[in-house]
Amino acid sequence: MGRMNWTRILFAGLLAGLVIDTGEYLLHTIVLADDWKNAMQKLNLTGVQMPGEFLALTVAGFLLGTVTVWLYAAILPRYGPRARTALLAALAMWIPGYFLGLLGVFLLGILPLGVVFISMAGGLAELLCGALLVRLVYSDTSSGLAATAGSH
Amino acid sequence: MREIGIILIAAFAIDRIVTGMFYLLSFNADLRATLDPDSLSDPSARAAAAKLYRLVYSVCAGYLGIVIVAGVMGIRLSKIAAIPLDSSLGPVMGNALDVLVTGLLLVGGADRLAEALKLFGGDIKPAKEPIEITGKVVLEQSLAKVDPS
Repeated sequence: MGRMNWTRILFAGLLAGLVIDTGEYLLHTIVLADDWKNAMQKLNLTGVQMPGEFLALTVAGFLLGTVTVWLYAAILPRYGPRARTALLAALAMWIPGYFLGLLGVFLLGILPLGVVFISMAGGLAELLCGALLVRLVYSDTSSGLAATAGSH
Repeated sequence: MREIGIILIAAFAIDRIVTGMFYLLSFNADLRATLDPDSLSDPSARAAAAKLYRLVYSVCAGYLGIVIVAGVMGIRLSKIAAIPLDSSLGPVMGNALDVLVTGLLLVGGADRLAEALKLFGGDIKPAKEPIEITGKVVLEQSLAKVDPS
């Protein structure tokens, strides 16, 4: 089994993080802006206002992207260098990262269904787009490993 | 004129940041093929790497254009050009379109500026594209003469 290329993982993770962070920004700051404001007012909270909070969420996006690439690199020898492999890695990250996390928040009555559903759908779209980009960037130099794994 | 100046400066800054970051990262052997396609000798591999480079460049410039410039810094097309947002689209779609179009303009501007800077800098390399030959090859096999003895 081939070794993981950590430089590529970090670089592709950074790119996936950029896709995730751009999607999250558009989704939560523009599309769901009013819904978040209403939800935060009900909870007597202020929401994301400080630069430090914005920075922390940005870093979280990069971390999510990097872990997705790591997972893609880990399952690559078994599933092969196909788009399906990248999409599976994205789905595997979306279930605990978005689906289960937001489901709990919804069931506890903290967030309304609209915010939860759109956040889940948006998160899935971000992760799938990021994973497809990751496949192109990571597989670029891993073709030797990929060629041997493609027959599985 | 002021609006064009702001967009040009922002696009120039984005292009310089992304190009500078890629230049530094291209010293790494694992990333050189992706971030410096000209370093590849094989023409078909270079063409594929150039395509990937453009995609990676667009993602990085897109993030800077949409999130940092249009979002955090608040430099938006509707503001600098004093264009009122279409109220029929609603506040959400209007804002989203404003940010997306501003980001697109900045990414496109950065890309075009990068081309223009190459022209002014005289750093023009002739494109080496793989030679492609099309046609038919006909193979004829003459029958060997059979010696009757």
